[in-house]
Amino acid sequence: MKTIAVYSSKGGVGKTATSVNLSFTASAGGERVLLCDMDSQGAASFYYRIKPKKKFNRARLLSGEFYEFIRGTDFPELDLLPAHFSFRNLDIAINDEKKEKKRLVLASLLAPLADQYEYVILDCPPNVTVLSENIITAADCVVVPVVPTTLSLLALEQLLKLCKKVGVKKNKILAFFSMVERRKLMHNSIMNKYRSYPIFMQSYVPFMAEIEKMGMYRRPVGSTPRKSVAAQPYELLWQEIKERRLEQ
Amino acid sequence: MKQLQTRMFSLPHGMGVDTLFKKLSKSFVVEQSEHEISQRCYYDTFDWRLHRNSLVFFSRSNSLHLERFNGKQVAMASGRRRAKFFWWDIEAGELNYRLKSLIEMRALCPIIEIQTETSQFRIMNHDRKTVARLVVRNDQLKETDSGLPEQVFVYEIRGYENEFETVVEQCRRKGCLEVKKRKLLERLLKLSGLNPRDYGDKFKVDLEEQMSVGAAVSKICLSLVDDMRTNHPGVIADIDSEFLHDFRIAVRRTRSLLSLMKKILPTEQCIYFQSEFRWLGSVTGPLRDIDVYLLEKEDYLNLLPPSLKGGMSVFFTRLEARRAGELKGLQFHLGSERYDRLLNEWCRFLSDPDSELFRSPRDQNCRVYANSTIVKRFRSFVRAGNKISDESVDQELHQLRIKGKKFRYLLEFFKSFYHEEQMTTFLKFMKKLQDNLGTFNDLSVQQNLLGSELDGLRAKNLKTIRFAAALGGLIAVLADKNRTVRGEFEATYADFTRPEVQELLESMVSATV
Repeated sequence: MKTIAVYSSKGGVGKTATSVNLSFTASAGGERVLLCDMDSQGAASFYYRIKPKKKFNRARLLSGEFYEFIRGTDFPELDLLPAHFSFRNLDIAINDEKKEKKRLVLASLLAPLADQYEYVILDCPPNVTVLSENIITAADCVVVPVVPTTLSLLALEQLLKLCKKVGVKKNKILAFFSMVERRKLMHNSIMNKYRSYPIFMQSYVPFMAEIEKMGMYRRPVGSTPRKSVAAQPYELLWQEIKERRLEQ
Repeated sequence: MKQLQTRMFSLPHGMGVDTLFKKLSKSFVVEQSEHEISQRCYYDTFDWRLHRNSLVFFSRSNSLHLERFNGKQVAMASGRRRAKFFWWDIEAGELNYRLKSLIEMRALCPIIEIQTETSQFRIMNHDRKTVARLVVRNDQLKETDSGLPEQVFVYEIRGYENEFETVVEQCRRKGCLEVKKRKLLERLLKLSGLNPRDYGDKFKVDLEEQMSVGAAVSKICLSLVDDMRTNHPGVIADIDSEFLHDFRIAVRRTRSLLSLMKKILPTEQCIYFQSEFRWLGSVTGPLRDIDVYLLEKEDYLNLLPPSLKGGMSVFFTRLEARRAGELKGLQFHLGSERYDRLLNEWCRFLSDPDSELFRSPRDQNCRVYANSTIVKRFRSFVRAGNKISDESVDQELHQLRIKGKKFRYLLEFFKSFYHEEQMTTFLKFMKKLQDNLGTFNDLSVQQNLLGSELDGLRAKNLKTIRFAAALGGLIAVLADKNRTVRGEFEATYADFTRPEVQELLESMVSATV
């Protein structure tokens, strides 16, 4: 089982759209995938039309008794662990753990799923807390969407600092340009400058109305009967993630 | 994590699936997602080797599947429907590998062809989230009007147990009958009137305790005629090598019975039928001999180092060409008047109430006769075996093998008179010794044939020289193996003639069933 975290401390960069579409693409290949919605807003759960069961909450998650709360999506090989409003305080609860265990909480919660899924994809909330430390420790690969803007690049820099602090190798990080608008000069110049950096993948996801409309249709872009063109960037992205990190 | 459930239902006669959907739509949104019409052709070997292993093989559009009776897939490969499949016709991979050990040299032939119509439905909640899946399936036998009742499969989706139970409950309320086990093939076989496992490799005739010799001979031999007639079309159509093999076994068993019981059978008829079945054995022999070589082609080649393998290909190409000629000859003989006359006269002799077969002394009790014949034949076999020494020539071992084979056939003819477990144990002892003698004989015969092939060669070119080198290499390997097998005879024979084995036979024949 490989764990892929889709993370950025900056909001609105396309983390959830990436998690939802990558998990769909990964499962379409016939491999078992679990998408964990770690963000208390529950946007990924909303896209898949999944509501958490009444008895589910943060305490259940942290006690390890969360398997019965995993729910099947509309797609055969893809399951989802829905978010719960109580997840907003997940970092506080993790902070209460003993120091030596603190960064390993998430990794130990996910470990027993190894015989059920080939891939676990984490849709992470936008912050830099002890939960973020857990996420980058547990993940085999941290996928970072970067809008070609200065603030987004700052968030990437911040993540690299966090890796150093936590003692996680930087090569876990794979960034890609997200919500790219080719007509914008700034987007072009930032991409030209940074695209050749090893941390960046060659695939990027353009800004597309169809991706925005996911909130209306509540399904991944690749799942429409006539496959949307918006699905292709995610397929290429998944292919590159697999080649660069997961199949090593 | 919990295993997801599937429930199967049969729709009650006369009820359409719409009635069920009407009921379901009170609680859910039902939407069709896919509709598919596919053809399936099921295959098995003539002796039902897959069915005996609770397996099913079928072709569906561009793929071939091996499944368990419960529908769980074992292996699959790409491939289209065809008149027959040998394991080597299937691309290298898991399916090819599995079939190799399951069906060996037998061909998979079509048994049933069906057309399946499946419609998939999403059962959704009011958020239009799929909470269960439903598949409606309709199986029709091709080229007939008959089919299985429409079936409904309900599939659980993780985390939506309550919704799944609701759908299942509504199916029940609408009168759908739950099908416990899948066993689709069983139901299709029943529908098509086919009887699985109606043919097997084990010889089995149930004789009654009070039967006369004549009646028992009639029952045994008619069952052997049945085997010949069953395999006859497969031999003529050359479906696979085992039709001829089984046909020949039935002929050999018949000949053994005539020879073993010649003293009690009417002399004139016995001589006549012995001679006619000898003819049948001789005309079926050459093709079988070639088949044995072709079946062992891979083993032969594996015995040779890579440098000599190429030389042997000439031999096999020549054998294959010769086989075609031999097959034509055999088809002629098995379609001849002489063959028809033989079987007709033989059946008349076996079943006509006025036949000599049912007159004295064949009216004596068969069980009593079998007891004394088995003991006599056993003693005679042991006497012949005791005479074998290190100096004995190959021919003496071959004679002993033939004696042993006849004795085993005798035991199998009258098997039903005796205690099953004792008989099985005794036959196991017998088999061990026979395997040794059989291997020795096979190796000798193979060496002789390869030797005569070598004698007939003239060194005209490099190809012939390479072939001669390969033949020489094979003969040397076979001779070496032969020596090993010969060396093992003494210990194997001593094991068979232990007092316990003899006591087992005596207790078996003296016991009453």
